[in-house]
Amino acid sequence: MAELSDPELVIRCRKGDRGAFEMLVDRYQTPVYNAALRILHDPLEAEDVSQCVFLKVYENLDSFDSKYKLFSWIYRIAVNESLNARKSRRRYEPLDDIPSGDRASGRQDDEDVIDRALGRLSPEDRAVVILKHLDGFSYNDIGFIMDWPNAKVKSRLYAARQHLKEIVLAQQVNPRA
Amino acid sequence: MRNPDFQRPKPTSEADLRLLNGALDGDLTSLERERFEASRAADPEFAEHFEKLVAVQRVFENVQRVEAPPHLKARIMAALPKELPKELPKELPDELPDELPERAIPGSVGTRPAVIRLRRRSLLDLIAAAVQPRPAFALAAALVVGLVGGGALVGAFQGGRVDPGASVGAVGAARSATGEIIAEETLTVGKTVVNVAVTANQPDPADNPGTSPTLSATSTRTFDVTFRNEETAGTTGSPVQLVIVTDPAVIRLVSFEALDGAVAFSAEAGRFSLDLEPGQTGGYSFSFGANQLGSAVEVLLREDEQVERRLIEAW
Repeated sequence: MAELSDPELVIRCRKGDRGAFEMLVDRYQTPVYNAALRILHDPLEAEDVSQCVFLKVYENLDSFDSKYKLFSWIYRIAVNESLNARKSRRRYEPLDDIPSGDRASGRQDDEDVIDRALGRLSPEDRAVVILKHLDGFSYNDIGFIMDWPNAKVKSRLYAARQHLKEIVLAQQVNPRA
Repeated sequence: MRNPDFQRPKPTSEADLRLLNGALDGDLTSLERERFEASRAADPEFAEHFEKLVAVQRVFENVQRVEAPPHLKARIMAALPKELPKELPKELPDELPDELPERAIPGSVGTRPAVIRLRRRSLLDLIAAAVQPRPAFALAAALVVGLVGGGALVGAFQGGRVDPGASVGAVGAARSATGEIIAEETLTVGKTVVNVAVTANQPDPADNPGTSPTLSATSTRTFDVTFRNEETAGTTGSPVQLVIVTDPAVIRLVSFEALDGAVAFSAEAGRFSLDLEPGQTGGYSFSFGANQLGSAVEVLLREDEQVERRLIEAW
């Protein structure tokens, strides 16, 4: 199947074209998995959430409003599912056992710093930082994904950045902090 | 050239926040850029703060995405229903009644509120169709749909009495002198639970010679063949077997309960059957969870060779 745009994929999926949905999964499984992994810090749970996300996408494509970006809509589901999974777990993770995955060895230190720092943010702040810094979403997109007004996106992002700055700098002084 | 009247906003002000965020994200206007540079030049603390934020951001820029596990796509595709939920059975009525009860479900994910929609007409039509050809056949049905979590009743219709052979019309009940069958359902979504209860009050064939009403009801998720509930009841003179078969991996069957209160089914089991002797008043109920929008319950009513279908869809 030739490369299709997101709107074309949606149309085909709505007609029951599983091949089109497979293409959609191909396109978005990595960012969805990464969002879940960054929020949950558990590869197995991230897989579960990813599966859940795409099942919801599949079952609710009919309700997708095409005035929004498909990726933002999928991401909205992914973040909600991840935060819900996080809440249901109801425990705090020190992030000492974060899996390294396929990271390049040269970036391991930065990865660890980021993961440790993210782990000390609230789940929502963690999500907004991930959306902004790791996925490059605009304020508007983040607002849609988090269901927040733009002003709240900015203030939460600012607060999260402040917090991250303190955490990262503290870790640079004391790596075990 | 710095404006001598310029006063840098307080560090916690909205303007400061916008400047810092904008500078980090590279989306300052020229005027904002000027103000930002003025702040940096005028306030070493502000400048240092910004540099630290930039340093943190640079760390993020070095972070790379982890590849999704190679088996993830196959796992996702294998978990999908066979068909999209919109692909409804062709046998369903094309038109929905105007008075479909709908209610938004708070907290649902999506760009529009999820609704519960009952294809109520199909049930009523089916009941009517089942009753009309056999005046001696007794049928009564009640349908209640509510949200267990919120307790909000979104639609209900219940019982009524019609003469044998008459069309049931807009109510969900029919009954004749020889017995009755009561169907009660509660369909919920999200935190809600689906309950289906069918009561078969069967007449004694000795008192009603020549009558042989049979009810068969099958509940399925229309888009997933792995879930299937089947019930059969009749008074043909032979023991009647009620059968429910489910795939516990797909639908969580909570209980199977006889009307006398005895729980006869557990979530671990995938199949249960109940024998009803002729003339015996038998009944059962079972409940199962359907936590996904798009879930649908399809019920087949079969009388002899005649099979009718109704669908309750939540989306």
